[in-house]
Amino acid sequence: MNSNKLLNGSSPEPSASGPLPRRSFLKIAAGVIGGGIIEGSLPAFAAKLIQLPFENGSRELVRFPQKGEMILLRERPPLLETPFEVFDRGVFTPNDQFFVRWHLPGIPTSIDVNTFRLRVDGRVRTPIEFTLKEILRQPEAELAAVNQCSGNSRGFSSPRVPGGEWGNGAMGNALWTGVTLKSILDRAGVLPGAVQVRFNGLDTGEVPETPLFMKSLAIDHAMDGEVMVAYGMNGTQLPMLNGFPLRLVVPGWYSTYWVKMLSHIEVLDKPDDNYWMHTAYLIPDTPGGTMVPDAKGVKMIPINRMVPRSFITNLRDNATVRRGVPIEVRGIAFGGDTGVKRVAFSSDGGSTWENAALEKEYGRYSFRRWQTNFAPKQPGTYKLMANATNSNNLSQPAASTWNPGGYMRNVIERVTIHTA
Amino acid sequence: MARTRQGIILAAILTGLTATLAHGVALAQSAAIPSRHRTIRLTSQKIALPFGDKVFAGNDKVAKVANEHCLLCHSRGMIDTQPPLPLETWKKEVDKMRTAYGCPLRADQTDGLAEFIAHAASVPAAGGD
Repeated sequence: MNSNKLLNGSSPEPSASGPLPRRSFLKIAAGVIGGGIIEGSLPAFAAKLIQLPFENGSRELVRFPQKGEMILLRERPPLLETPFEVFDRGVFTPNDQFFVRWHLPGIPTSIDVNTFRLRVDGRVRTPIEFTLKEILRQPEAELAAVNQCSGNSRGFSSPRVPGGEWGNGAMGNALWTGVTLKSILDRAGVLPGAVQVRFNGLDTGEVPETPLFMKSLAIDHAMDGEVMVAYGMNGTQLPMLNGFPLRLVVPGWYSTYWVKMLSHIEVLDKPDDNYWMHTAYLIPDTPGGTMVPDAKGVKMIPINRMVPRSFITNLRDNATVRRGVPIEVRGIAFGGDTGVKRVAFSSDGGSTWENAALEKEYGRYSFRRWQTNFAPKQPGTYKLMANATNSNNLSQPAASTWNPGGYMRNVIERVTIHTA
Repeated sequence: MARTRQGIILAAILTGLTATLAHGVALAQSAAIPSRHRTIRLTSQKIALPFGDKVFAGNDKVAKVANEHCLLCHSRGMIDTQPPLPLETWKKEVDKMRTAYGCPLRADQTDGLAEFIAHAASVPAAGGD
């Protein structure tokens, strides 16, 4: 019955029987992929499928509004993953293939730029409702930064945990343009006693009991001059599904804080105890956020700074290469909450390492491309690995971390290749 | 410094423009709100989002409960993409939907629903690994 369980991703049966589809958008959209032929009556099994490399990793490739081909986890509210080959094409992730992650189903499908308001209130001298015109008149801030879902790569958790079962594509790098959060808060005038700043967007639950998706930052963090209210993404306005018209940008911190369709900023005089800060998105208070499965009494804290990661982007697992012929190995790295200091490369499963060449730096929160050359001299199998070290001398762990939320995965990745 | 900054901006703008051209997102200049930025104009947006059509098959009560409750807030893909999970984990997830997210489910419906979902998701009804 559940065709998505097929591991080889081939010839799944049509989905569960039931009432006729209420909307055929998705299947029509899926039909566009491939031959470029639009045909509304395509059966579901014509959808292009890919296999993420873990159990039950079969996924459809789909197109949503303003988006290119994306890996579908869930239609409503949308969970769309960036196909991994996109990361080989450049240091910035195109807006139309930037991953999408919404928590609540009530996502506005239209935004009028003339009536949209950003409200700032709470512990401030002057509560303000900003129009977009007013926001765009403020001095411009610009920053390249990686936006990565807390649960990026959750599908690789062992033991597996429930949640959005992402491969490695719930991340992206963009040049964000906007105004600093500090400049907005300064306009309102933060009063003494301010402790945190809470952010809310326009999305809502289907039932009123669903907690609004709100996230908070410490006041000093909010005022650091780097946290930004962005209206631009790679030189253009944001796609609706990435948070148009305004999105919070929290460089170096996981995406959960990057509130989309940001409409309300509230300065708090006590720590935020709302569900999304107090109960959800918690990690063990340990280095790397790791714990032993089933451990009891582990102190949990809100997820926060990112940790370094690196990926080989131009060779897929189990690729075949010609023996003795030098090949370029390239990829991306990011330092997490600071810059990339080096990327070490190993072709022997981690026994020996040498530094890869780092390409241009676009700022410490950005992806950074790296490359090296490698000639497989002997016939056989090679285990290629990359390990990023950030400016705080934090490197990736050799063994996978684990926590019940499936957060913060950053183990050294491995690509196995074979000589022909 | 200025040149580096321009290089960054150019690289990112090219990324953005390529996407814009490739997918024909209209840039209606007339109603646009200009920024200080050279290329960014904010224009009103309207999209249509897919609902997600898959439902749980069957005419028994619990299939109806699943369709009317689980699929109220999210499409079936959320369940179908889960890994094999122990029944206890499914019970916790269903109970979280009721207690944390306000799913209008009675407490005495959670275990039955968890068992149904675990089965529907092709998961062994008990245990796991």
